[in-house]
Amino acid sequence: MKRIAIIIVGFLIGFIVFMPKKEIFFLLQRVLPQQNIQITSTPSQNPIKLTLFNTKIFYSNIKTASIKEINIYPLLLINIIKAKNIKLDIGNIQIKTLNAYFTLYPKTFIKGDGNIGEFEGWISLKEAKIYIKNPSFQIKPLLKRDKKGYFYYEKF
Amino acid sequence: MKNFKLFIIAFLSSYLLWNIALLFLPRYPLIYTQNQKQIPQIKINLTRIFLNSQASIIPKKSYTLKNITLKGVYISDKKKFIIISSNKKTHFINLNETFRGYKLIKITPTTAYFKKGDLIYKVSFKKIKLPPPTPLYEIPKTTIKTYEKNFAKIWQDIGIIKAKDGYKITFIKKNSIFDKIGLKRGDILLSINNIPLNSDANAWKTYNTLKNQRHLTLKIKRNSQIKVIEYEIY
Repeated sequence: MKRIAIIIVGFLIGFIVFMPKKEIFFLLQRVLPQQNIQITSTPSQNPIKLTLFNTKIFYSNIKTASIKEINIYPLLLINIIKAKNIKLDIGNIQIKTLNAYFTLYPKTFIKGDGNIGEFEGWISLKEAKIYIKNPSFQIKPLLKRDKKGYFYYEKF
Repeated sequence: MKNFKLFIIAFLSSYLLWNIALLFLPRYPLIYTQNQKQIPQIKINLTRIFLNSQASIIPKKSYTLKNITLKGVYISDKKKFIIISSNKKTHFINLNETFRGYKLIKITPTTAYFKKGDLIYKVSFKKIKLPPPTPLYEIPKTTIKTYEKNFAKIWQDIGIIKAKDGYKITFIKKNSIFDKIGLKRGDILLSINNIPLNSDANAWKTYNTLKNQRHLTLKIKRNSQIKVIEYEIY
């Protein structure tokens, strides 16, 4: 039993360390245009994370967001994304820091702060909604409300 | 020691696995740039120039036929006829055909000419009262460029929130360009150049094409009435 545990741990550590993170990002760049989304970035990797510098996100060939730095930690059981200086060209929204946590739990938790104040919530990928807990007055007008709370929904 | 060996073997096996996966993964990034250049397309129907080159009869003086109303005109290369109404009856008359002694000699898109003896008579479409002209405002291109450079200035001069069918103006700074171009607080922006502003994606798409436009048509809802405002960018 101990041996199996050692093998699994060894394999998982190797899996994270040797993961070709840059190449997986290049693959993602080629898959996303099917959804009308294009990403341009300068990636750099180290054994535990992938860093994307000066990322620009285009939707239908129109620049919709620019992010100065994104750090992605693909730690398998818990994947963390830390983004700095996000500028959404829609509605002049600027986010200083945004942290997102992906776990085996279906919700993706987000936490951040910017010119719309501090915010915390979760993303429901199934419903394509972003729920925000106790939203600040700056973003309240942009949100809708249901039983679960305030949410942002945009069907592209 | 044995356990450490096992750990190393497992550790390196993942390295081997990823190396095999690398064979199928792309090695180079894709670089996208925003493509905003729009090539203007001009349609010129050259055939019309040649087909309409035949000499036309231009009546010097013509009289208007009373009790006859022109309802329609059909002009093609092979056939030309008009539709008229007289005494609540509709008649189709081909070119060079005679109707009550009047010979149809010429058809233009708006008028039909008849001949009786030496006199020329004409029948035209009824003049339709046009609605009052939509207001036209001029916006200097430099103003658009200023807002382009300083995006945040837009939100200092105008406030908008998403409404049911567009974007509602919540405030307008006095003497700002938005104040001068006929917008008012409470207006709901419905569409720009016939692109409905019903989603952020559409609104953003429209904003990005503004710099290349010379003419804008803005549809707004003011006090439950739909209004159209025209803008010229110079």
